Amino acid sequence: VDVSHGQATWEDLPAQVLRQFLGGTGLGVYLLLREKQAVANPLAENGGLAFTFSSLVGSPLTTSAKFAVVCKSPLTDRYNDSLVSSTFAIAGKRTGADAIYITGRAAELSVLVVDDGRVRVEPCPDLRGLSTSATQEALVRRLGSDFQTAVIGPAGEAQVRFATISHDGRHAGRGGTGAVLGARNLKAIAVRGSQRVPWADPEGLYEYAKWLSQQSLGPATSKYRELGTVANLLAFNRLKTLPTRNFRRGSFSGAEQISPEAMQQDAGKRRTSCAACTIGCEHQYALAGDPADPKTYVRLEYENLFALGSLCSIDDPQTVLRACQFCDEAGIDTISAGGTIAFAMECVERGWLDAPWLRFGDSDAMLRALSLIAARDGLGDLLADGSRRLSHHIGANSASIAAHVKGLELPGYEPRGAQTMALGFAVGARGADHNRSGAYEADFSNQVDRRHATRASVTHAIDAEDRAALIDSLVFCKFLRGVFVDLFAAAAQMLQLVTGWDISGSETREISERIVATKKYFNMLAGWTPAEDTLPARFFDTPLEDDPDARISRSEFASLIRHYNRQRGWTEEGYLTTELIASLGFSLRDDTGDCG
Amino acid sequence: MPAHDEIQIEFFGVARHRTQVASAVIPVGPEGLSVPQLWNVLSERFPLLLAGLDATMEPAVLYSLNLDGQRFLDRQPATILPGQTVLVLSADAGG
Repeated sequence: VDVSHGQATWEDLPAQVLRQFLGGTGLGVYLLLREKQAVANPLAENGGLAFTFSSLVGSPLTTSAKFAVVCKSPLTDRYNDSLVSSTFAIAGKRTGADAIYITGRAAELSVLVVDDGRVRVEPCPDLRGLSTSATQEALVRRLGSDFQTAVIGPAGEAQVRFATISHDGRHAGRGGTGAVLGARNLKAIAVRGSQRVPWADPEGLYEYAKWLSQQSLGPATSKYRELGTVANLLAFNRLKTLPTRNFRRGSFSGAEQISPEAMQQDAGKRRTSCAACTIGCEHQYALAGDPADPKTYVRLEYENLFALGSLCSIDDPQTVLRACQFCDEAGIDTISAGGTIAFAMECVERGWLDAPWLRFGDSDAMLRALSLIAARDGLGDLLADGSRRLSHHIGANSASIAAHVKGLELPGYEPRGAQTMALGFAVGARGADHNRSGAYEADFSNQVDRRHATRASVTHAIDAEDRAALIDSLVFCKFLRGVFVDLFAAAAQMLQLVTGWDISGSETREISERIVATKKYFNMLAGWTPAEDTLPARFFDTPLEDDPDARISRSEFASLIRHYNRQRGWTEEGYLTTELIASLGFSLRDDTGDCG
Repeated sequence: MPAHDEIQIEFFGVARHRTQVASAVIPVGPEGLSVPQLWNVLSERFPLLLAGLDATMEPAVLYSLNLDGQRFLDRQPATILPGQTVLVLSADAGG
C-alpha cells in the first residue's frame, strides 16, 4: 500500500518464498529486502514496514494468533522486527493477505483500512494525540467492533525512535516500529476479513491442536500461568543477574519491594490471555485506587519491571506500575525507555549531563522523563533518540556506559553474569535482545559456566537464535517452547498439517538458518561492520560491583564471536560470502537499489 | 549461612508461590543429600511443590536447582552437603 497516493496492489507471493521464509519475521525480512529497505531511511517517505502473518495464523493451534511488524529500525538503522499477539492477526489473515507492506506518507493523519480485499486511507485528524487505548476505542466507534486495529500513541506520532505499535494492550515493542508507522502519517491500521484458508489435514490438525493445548496446560508453562515473567525478578536478583543502576550492579536492594510477590499482597491482581491462547501468561496488577475499575490494572512483565525499576533504582511499586501504564498508553518501548533514562541518570551523576532533577531512585524524575520523551519536549527530545544517539550528543566517555548493542538497549539479563546471553546480544541482527536469542537458557542450567563463556556457549547461542527465528516465522508463542522435545520436527509436523507440504525437521532447521543469514544480509546492505558485534565497554572494563568474579575478557569475547561466525559458515569477520548470498536467492548488486 | 548439620533452601518463582515461604531448613547428616533425596524431602514437607507432575516427569521440568548461587545442579548426579544453600528456581528463565 502506498499511502501517499492511497493506492494498493495485490500480489501473489511465489510458493517457493513462502516455503523458504514461512511468514512472520522470515517473510518480513524477505519483503524488506525486495523493497530495498536496507538502504532506505525508515522515517522518510520511501521508508516502509510490513505486517506479516503466517500459514499457522487462524488455525486451531494454541498461541498461533500472532503477527510480526518488520522494518528497518530508526533506532538502530539495522534490521528490526517485533511480534504482537491476538485478534489483529486472525482478522489480518482473513483479509486474504500473508503480508501487508506499507510505504509512502499520507497527506494528513490517517487510518489505513483493509476491509477484506478493499483498501482505503481515511483521514483521522481527530485522533491526533490520543493514547493507544483511546485510539482503539475511537476506531471501534468509527468503524465497528468487527475491525481489529493496530495503533500508535503520541510517541509514534512524535517519531520517538523506540515507539511501539499496539493492539489490544499488547505491543510490537522493540526498535521503533511505531515511529515508522507514524512517519507514514498513519495513526492506525484496521483490518477485517471473511476469507479462510483451507487446511491440508483438518482432522489431523485438530488432533494435534488438542494435544498441544493439553501440553500448554502442563508443567512446562507453569511459570507463565502461575506468576508470569515477573517471577524472574527475585531469582535474578539472587543470582546477581538483575541489571541495576545502569548495569553497575547485578542485584537491587529494593527488589523485594517491587517483586510480584509483594505487589499482589498490597494490591489486586488478575490474569488474562491473548486470543487463541490456552496459557494465559498476562498478569495485571492494580494501581492504587479502585481495584474494581478495570482501567486501574496494569500488565506487568519482567522486562518492564527491571527497566523501569531496578535499572533506574526505583523501588516504589506504584511508580513502576504508573510508568508501565504510561509507556503502554503513549506507545513507548519500556526496555529502551528505561535503558535510556538509566544511562542519562548516570551521566547526570557523573556531571556529563545538565539535568540535576534526573536522579537514580527518584520516582517523580522517572515519570517526568517518560512524559518528556513521549512529547519530545526539552531533554525528552534527546532521550527519544535512544541511548546511542544521546551518548553521541553528550560525548565525554559516555559511549562506554551506554548499554546497547547496535543502538538497541539491553534487556534484563546482566551480560557479565549470563555470558552465553552476552554472545546472543552481541551477534543479534536487531541488537541486544532476549526474544531473538534465548541463550540465557544455557546460562541458567548446568550446560555452561554462566560467568565464563566458552566455545560450547557459542553452540548454545546459535541453537537459541535458530529456534527463535523458526518460532517467530511460524508464528507461535515462545512460552510454548518447553513442550517440544524436537522443535524443528514439531514445526515440520504443524506445517505439514496446515499446508500439506512434505517437510521435515531438517528442512525447518535449514529455513531457520536461512532466515538468520538473511537478516544478517539485510544488515550488511545497511552498512553493518564487524565492530558492531560486541558489547559496550562497561562490560569488558568493569566487573560487577556486587559480583567481582563476573568479568568478560574483551579478547576472549572477540575470539568467541569469530568462532560464532565460522560456525555459521560466514567469514571470520561475520560477512556472508557471495555464494551464500546467492544461495539465499539474493544478489548484492540488485538489493542495494539506487545506492549501487 | 546454614548450620553445619542442615541445608538451607531458598524458594523463588513458582516454588515460592506454591510453598508460600521464601526459605526452609532441612536437617541432614554429614553425608548430605542427593538431588532425588532432596526432592523427596521437599515434596513431603510442601505437597503442592510438585503438583501437576505425573510419575513419568522429573522435577527438572518445573524447577532448576542452584547451589549457593554459583552452580546449577539440574539433571546431573550431585550431593548437597550440610552447610550449603540450594536455590529452587523456575526451570524456564524466559521473560
